[in-house]
Amino acid sequence: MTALLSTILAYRPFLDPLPIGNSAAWVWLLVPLVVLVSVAYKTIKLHDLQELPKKSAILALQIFIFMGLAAGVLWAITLFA
Amino acid sequence: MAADPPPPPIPKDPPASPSPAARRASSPRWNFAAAFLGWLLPGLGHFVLSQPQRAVVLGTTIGTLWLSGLLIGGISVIDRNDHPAWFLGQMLIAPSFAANHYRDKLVRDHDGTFDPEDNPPFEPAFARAHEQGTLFTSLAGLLNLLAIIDVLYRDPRDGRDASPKSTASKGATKPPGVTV
Repeated sequence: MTALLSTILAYRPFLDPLPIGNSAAWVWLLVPLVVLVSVAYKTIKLHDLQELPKKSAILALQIFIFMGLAAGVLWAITLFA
Repeated sequence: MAADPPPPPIPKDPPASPSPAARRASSPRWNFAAAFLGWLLPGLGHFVLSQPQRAVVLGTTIGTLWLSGLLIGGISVIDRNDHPAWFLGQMLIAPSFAANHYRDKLVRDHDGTFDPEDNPPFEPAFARAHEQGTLFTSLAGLLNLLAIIDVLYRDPRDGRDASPKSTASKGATKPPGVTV
């Protein structure tokens, strides 16, 4: 508890890195990354911004699916190669 | 008694050629000032081209991505000397230069080492925090490059330069070749 408190109190936003270390928590950072990239990309590409929520959600879903497939293929390669 | 001959056809007016001003308004044009403003602040280029909605969305998303990178990895993720290849992506947003300069200043002004006992001005990022922070800030820069290219060369016939109201009144439609 003391260690956690000292870590939180010592943290200076934008100067120090988040204390994520090598934990698996970093994977969850991909969610905002993919969503923000999808929205920004579709904002540039779309002619009519009314379609933005739907189209960017579809693109984000496609990125998640193909990232998952790529991760599965790479995992299989490391497992069987 | 012979029938009256049919009246001669009335010659039609030749099609009016567009005025030089109209031709200039409908021809593609380069917007260097808007592109520069878009580099200074994401979305500003679209704002000066009268696309406030697009500007707000771009400014919010690209700005959030860039700031999230700084929040995750700290200021050490923007370092022109330590990882110049990543800085090529980061420099596509002008505030990255300010962050790099500020980090340099903090390093110059600090006397001791970067051990925690020496109370360093910032903690260098390692491992996942460094990776993710660098990735977020570089991707923000690359997305801003797309936004800069979008405002740099503009064809008014695509209907995006006009406000939605005036576009509707002109009956503008999506031109062929515009893909989504």
